[in-house]
Parts: sequence; structure tokens; C-alpha cells
Amino acid sequence: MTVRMEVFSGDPPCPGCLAILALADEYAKKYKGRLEVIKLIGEEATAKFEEYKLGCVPAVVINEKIRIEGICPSRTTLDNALREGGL
Amino acid sequence: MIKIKVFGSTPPCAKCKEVEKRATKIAERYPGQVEVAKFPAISEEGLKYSVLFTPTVVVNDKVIAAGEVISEGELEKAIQKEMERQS
Repeated sequence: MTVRMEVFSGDPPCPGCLAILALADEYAKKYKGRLEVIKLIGEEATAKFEEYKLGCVPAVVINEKIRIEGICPSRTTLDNALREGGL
Repeated sequence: MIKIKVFGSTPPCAKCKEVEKRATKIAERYPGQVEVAKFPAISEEGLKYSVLFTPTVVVNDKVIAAGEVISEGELEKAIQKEMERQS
């Protein structure tokens, strides 16, 4: 089963958003075929941002569950979140 | 009337939200004298002030903070200075 990770960033991006976007690219390569990474930036993120009732960016939603909000997570934290999400 | 403009990313990051909260809190101390408006950094209004960093705070058309969470004290000082100038 493919795990779906939605990564939210503001526009213009703050340092935390830049870091999380880089992490998203890294994880998309690392787990190719097992992880679907969707980057939602700025205006294009607004609808989903409201749908999930997020408060601020950066944020990560894994399989439609909010896992990270307001910070760029460490790799360990993101790994744990993905594991909980079924990866 | 003193106008505070807060420019943030879209969707907002934690820093942008904090600055907006502080500005609103200070405006409540000066009912009818201070007005707070929030704008996306990438907007017509943002271009007027050449907003490059978020959050950016403008008091009566003067940029008083960019890329940092301004303290309540500093923001209030800028407002009082404007009030003195206007009187």
C-alpha cells in the first residue's frame, strides 16, 4: 500500500517551510514507489489547509491525519510519523 | 487612526500568526485609534512596501519589522511615536 504524505508550505516560504520541502524531496526519492509525496505551496494549499483545519505551516499530513504542524520535523520524527502511517 | 499592516505567508506560519496576535492585542488597548489589517506578502499591497521577508509589520506606511517576530514593546513604542507625531 502506498502511503500518502501531503506537505504544506507557505508562500513566501519561511526557513521551516524551505527545510520541509527539501525533506519532502529527499523522502520521495528514498521511498520511491512506497510513498506518494504531494507538495502544497501557498495559494494552492489553501483549500486543503482549511479542509484539514490546519493552523499554520509547515505541516505534514500522512494518510489524511495531521502529523506535524508549525515546525520542520527531524528525520527521526518524520520516520516515526511515516511508520505510524503504515510505511 | 494608526494603521498596522501585517504581511505574512499564505498559508500562515507560526511566526506570522504570532505577530498578528500581538498587533491585535495592542490595538485592543487603543480602541478606535489603532486598526490592524492582514495581507498576504505576495500581493499588490505587499509590492507597495517591497515585502521580501515574513512577517513584515508596517505602521502608517513605515516598515518597522521584517522577517522577525517583533516584541509587543517595540510595536507599542512605534505606535506611540506615530500618535505623538500626529498630535
